[in-house]
Amino acid sequence: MRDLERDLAGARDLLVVDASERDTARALHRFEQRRIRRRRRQMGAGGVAAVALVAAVVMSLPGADPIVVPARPIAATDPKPVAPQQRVVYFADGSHATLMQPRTEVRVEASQEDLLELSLAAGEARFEVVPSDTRLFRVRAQDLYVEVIGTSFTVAVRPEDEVDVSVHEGRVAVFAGDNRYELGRDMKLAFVAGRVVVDEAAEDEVEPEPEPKKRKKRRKRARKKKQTQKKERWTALAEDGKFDDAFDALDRTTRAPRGTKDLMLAADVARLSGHPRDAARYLKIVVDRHPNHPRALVAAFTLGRLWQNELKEPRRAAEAFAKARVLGPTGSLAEDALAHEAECWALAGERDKAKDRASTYLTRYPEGRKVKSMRRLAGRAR
Amino acid sequence: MPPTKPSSQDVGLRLVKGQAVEPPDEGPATFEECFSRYHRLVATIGLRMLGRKSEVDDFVQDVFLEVHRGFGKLRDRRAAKGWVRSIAVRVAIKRLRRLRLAATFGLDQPIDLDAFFHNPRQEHATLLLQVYRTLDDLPAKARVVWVLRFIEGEKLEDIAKLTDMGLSTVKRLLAAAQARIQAAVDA
Repeated sequence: MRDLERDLAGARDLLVVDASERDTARALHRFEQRRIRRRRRQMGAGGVAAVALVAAVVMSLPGADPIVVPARPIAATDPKPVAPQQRVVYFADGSHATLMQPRTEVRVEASQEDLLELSLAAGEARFEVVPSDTRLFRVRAQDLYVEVIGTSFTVAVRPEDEVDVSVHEGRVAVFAGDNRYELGRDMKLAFVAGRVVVDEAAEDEVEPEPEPKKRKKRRKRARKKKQTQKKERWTALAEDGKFDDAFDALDRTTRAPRGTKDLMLAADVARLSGHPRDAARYLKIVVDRHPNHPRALVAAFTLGRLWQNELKEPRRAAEAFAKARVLGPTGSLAEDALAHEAECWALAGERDKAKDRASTYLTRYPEGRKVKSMRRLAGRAR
Repeated sequence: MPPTKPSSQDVGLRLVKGQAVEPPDEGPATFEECFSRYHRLVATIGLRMLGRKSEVDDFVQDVFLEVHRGFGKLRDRRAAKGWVRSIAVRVAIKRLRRLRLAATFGLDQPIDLDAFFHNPRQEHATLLLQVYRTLDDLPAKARVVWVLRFIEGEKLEDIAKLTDMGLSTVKRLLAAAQARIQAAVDA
C-alpha cells in the first residue's frame, strides 16, 4: 500500500497560489469593481463617482506595464511608514519601486528579458528587487549605475549633484566611472560632484574591487569550484527547482542516473529545462528496464504526454499510452491513457485503431470525462 | 557629507540593536488590509479545495464578498485569519456542490494536468491528478474534510470547528474519503 500521507507531503507545495503584491492589487481592484457593480445594481443608478475613485486607486504608468497603487509600508516590520502621497510602481516580475517624494521621477530605460534598467532623474526611490539569476536590475542616477540581483536599496538624487545609495538587504554594485564599489546590507555611499565620499568608519567595508589580475584569477577559481559543485549536485539543484542549472550539471556529470527515482528526477529536469527528447530517453529507461516498479506507470504516461504535446509524434505517444494501460489497467490513470491513446492514433492517421480504442473507452467508461470526443472518434456522435 | 555606515533611521532599517522589530499583530485594521493579507491564503485554499485553477479567482471574490459583509462586525481583529478561513471553507462547500451539479449536466470543466500545475514534478503532479479525480466523485463535505486533513494538515478538532460539524461526523467522512482515495492510488 502506498504511503499516501508521505507522498502528499512532497506534492503539497504544488498546490500553492503564488500571488505577488501586484496580483493582490489586481484582485482587490476587481473586487472593488464587482462590489460597485453590485451596489449600482441594487441602488438602480449612480455610482459613477465610485468607479472613478477605484480607477484612481489602481492605474497604469507608461512603460514596462507597471501598476501604481497607494503606498503602504513595504513590510509589516518596516518602521518607516510610507506617506500617503508616495506611490509604488510595480514591475512585471514583482520588483517594485517606492517613490519617496512627490517630485521623484523614475523612467524605464530598458525592459528586456535579461535587463530592467531604470533611471532616477530626480527625487528619491526605494527599490525592492525580486531575485533573478537571469535578469539584471540596474538603476542609473546621473553618472552612477547601481546593479543588483535580489535586494532592497534606496537611491536619492539630491541637490548639488549628490547621489546617495543605501542598501537595506542583499548586495549591490555601484559603478562610478571606471570604479566599482560593492555595498552590503546597511551600507551607504554618497557620490558628490563626481567623487565618491567615504568616511573612515565605512572605508573598510566599502571596498573597491581588487586589481584586474587578481579578479581574473579569483573568477577563474570560482568558476572551477562552481563546475565541480554542479557535477555533484544536479539532484540538489533539481530539488531546489533550478532545472536549467540542474540539466547543465546533469549533462556534465560522469555518473548517469540509475535508479528509478533518479531517472524520474532526471526526466523532470530535462522536461522542465526544455529538453523533451532527453526527458523521453530517461522515461523510456524506466519503462523498459523497471516495468514492475510502481514508477513505470507514471513514466509511461508522462512519456505519452511528451510525445503527444511537446515532441508532436502521435504514433509514439499512442504506443506509450498503450504501455501505460498495460502497466495500470484499473488505476485512475487508465481512463486518461485510453482516451489519449485513441486521440493519438487518430492524429497518426490510424483511424481503425482510433475507432477501436474510442469504442473500448465508451464501453468501459460510459459516464467518463471524455465521452463526447470519444463518441466522435468512434463514429457515434449524436 | 560623510556617507558612512548609515543609522537605522537613514535607511529605514528593520533592526534595532540587532533584533528584528516585530510589532504585535493587531490584525487587519481595514478591509483592504485584510484583503492584502489573506488574498494568497484564500486563493490557495480555493485551489486546494476545488482542484481547478480556473475557479480560483471567482472563489476569492466570493469569499471576500462575505468577508466584506461581516468585517465591520468582527470585534476581535486578531481573529481575522481564522474567521476568513472558516468563510473560505463554507464558500468552498457551496461551490463544490454547484460544480457537482454542473458535472451532472456535463457542464463542469474537467481537471487538466497542464492547466492545474505550473512546471510540476511529474510524480507529484500525477499523484495529485489521481487524488483530485477521485475527490471529484466524493460529496462536497467529505472532500473538504479530506483536503483540510491531508492537504492543509489540520487537526480533526479544528476541522470540526471550521466545517461546523461534529467530531464523529468528521471522522466518518474522513475515513470514507480516505478509503476511496487510497484505493484509487493503489490501483
